[in-house]
Amino acid sequence: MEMEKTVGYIPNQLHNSTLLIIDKRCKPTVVPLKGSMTFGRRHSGKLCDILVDSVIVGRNHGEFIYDNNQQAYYYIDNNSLNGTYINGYKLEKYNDRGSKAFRLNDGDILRVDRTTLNQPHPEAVIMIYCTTIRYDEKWKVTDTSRYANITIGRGSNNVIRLTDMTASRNHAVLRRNNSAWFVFDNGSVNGVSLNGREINGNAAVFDHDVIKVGNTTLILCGKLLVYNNPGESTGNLSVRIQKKTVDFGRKTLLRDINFNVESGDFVLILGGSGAGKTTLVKAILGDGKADGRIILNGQDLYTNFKSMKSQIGLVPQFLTLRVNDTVKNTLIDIADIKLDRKNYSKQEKLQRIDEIMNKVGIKNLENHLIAQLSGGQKKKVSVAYQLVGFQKVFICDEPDSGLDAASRTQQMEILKEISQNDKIVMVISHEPDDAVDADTGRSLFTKVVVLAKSSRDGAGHLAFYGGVEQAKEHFGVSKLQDIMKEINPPFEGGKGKADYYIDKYYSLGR
Amino acid sequence: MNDTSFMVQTHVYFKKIFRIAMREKAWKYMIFAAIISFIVATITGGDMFENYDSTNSGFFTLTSACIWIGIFNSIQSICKEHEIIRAEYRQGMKISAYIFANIQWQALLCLVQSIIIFGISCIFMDFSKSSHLIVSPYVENFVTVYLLVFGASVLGIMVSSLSGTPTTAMTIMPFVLIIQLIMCGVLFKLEGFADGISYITLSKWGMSAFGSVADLNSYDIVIGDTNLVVHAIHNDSYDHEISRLVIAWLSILGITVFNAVVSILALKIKNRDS
Repeated sequence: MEMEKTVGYIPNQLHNSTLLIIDKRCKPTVVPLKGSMTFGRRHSGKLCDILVDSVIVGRNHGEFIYDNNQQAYYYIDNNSLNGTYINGYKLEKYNDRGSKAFRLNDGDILRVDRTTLNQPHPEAVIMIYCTTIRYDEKWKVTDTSRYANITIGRGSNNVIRLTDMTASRNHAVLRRNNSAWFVFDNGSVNGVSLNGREINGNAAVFDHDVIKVGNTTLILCGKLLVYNNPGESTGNLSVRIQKKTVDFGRKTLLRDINFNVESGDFVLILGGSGAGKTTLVKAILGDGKADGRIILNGQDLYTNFKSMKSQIGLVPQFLTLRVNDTVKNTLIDIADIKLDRKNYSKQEKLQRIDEIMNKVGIKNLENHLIAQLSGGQKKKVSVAYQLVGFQKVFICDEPDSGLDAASRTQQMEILKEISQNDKIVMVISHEPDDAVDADTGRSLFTKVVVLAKSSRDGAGHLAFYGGVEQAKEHFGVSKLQDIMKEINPPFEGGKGKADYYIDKYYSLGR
Repeated sequence: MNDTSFMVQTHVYFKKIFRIAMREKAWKYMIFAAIISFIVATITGGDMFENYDSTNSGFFTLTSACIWIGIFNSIQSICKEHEIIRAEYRQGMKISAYIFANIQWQALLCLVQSIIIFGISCIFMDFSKSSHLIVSPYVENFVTVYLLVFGASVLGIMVSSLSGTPTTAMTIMPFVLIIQLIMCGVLFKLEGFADGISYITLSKWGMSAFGSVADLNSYDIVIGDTNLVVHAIHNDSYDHEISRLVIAWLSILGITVFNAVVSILALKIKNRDS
């Protein structure tokens, strides 16, 4: 089907997929996965694409297979002598070709080792499939023999001090008990996982085990602890919606919506009534799950919804705050709910709230009841409310509605500034041309998503995704607002060219 | 993984609910309770503890008033906030903490209302005519009033949690009240299924508690204007025994806990995709 081919427009998953390999030298090597690749031992004959120096790895041990349709990697063990363990389970032989294919997700741990994983072979090899670790990631090594306790977190008193904002101040501790190590979760916000599974309180850590603390990966390798420190993640959001249906599949609201947003992007979502803007927003939020995937920093929102939902914030069109409470109390309460006491002192919370109120421009209103505020001020409080947490993505549903032109511009400037702090801000707006830089006169938006309702299937399709100037060029207009005239049906005052622009966009090979 | 704890969130929400209630003039609930209890007590209080009918009717009216006041306290408390709850749930709110904080606030509000209701009732109803079971008839009747008002307010929270909008909640409310009034067994003799249903109503157990403290079975029935007196048909629910009173109180508490759990589940189901 032609429409499915357009998926290729998105920067493919394979561009982001890497394989972190830890071998007997305990030196982490990051190998970028570029399409299907074979994996095996370095030897004198025909070599595989990914090579390791280990006697327990077969010459042609396994294969990483890239599926274009699913845009996902699979791993097959080629019936190797020692086999491959994935997340602690050995891949069983399926046929003469090898094992069944295992679909890889970010953080999956592949291991070539002997059966007793708790006592790894000296030449055991660990490979971690990653979509979040960069090829040029810097890795550090700590000698564990020097410590009885290794504290991990953002606090300055930790042995391993992280700058990653998803790590708590005193996130976890590795504690030695005789010769065994145990990892303890200090009641962290984002938890600790061991070999891909979240721990409950504490767990024993064995050689070659992989610990995840927020976005940080730590691997115990003999006496060494190998870890990265990604800092605040420079994330991206991939939207891959095949379709979104309602009425038990009888009505399709969205079809073939694929785009990729980088952190720092300020994205405008345009579309006529019924084009599926709200449906798209709900799909990205996970509120109304679509057939497809929403991938944030390499993790699938739909499969990790509970832990990831708080990373995407919504500033709704209509106020969802209690109007008989003051601005400051509203923010303090949400800070108390979002930020736990162990990691954030009362002082830190108040400081953060003050910073947010100053940033959003509502500091002077802190003691006002929300009911007493103007429409624009209420919108600002809604934005501030979302900022209290550490969301990576903000979706704003008409944050400028009901505001005068000056307030609209100011509101957009605030949102733009938020996006510049390595966040993704997506905005539905009907007055996009007011969002301009006062100095340069250029649009504040960095990307534009245009949804159009096709007359052929009645579903909302992507009519454009790209930069602001390209959008204007694509639709042959001088103002973003005029795009709506091009795609809206005649009975809504438009030219009814939705199908034309959908086809034009797809014909570009996107 | 460890979000802010249930206790922390409950404390946050209780403070918020209390603060907002004060701003929204929570005293009007006290006035409301005072007016209703004054009307009820003046009309029924004079004949209370004289004969079976007047005492039974008096307690029935008091029970109904308590349930009405309790439900009215909370019937709109949750449904008016569904959009806010959805947004906050996404931010990490624990629904159990939110409901528990609402229940805590209702517990406090109902305590003050119960003092008002019972205080006004005492002016017109001579509770000292009852003999005590555990402590004193005043304390026992006050506890019953409080449990009824509180239980009804948690019932209101449940209805509010199940309702999508305040309009729906207010539409459902009369049905809930009618069921409570009919199923208490005072207006009609209940048999079979209806009798079974009565065991999950606050009114039945409220009447049982009042009746057992007052030893309602010991009262005579005066037939019309004939001055003929017959002994009331024995009702096990009104046995003047400590166990009867304790069972009635525990049943009200049990129904209240059940309603609270349903409220939490209802909100969790409503927000399962958020």
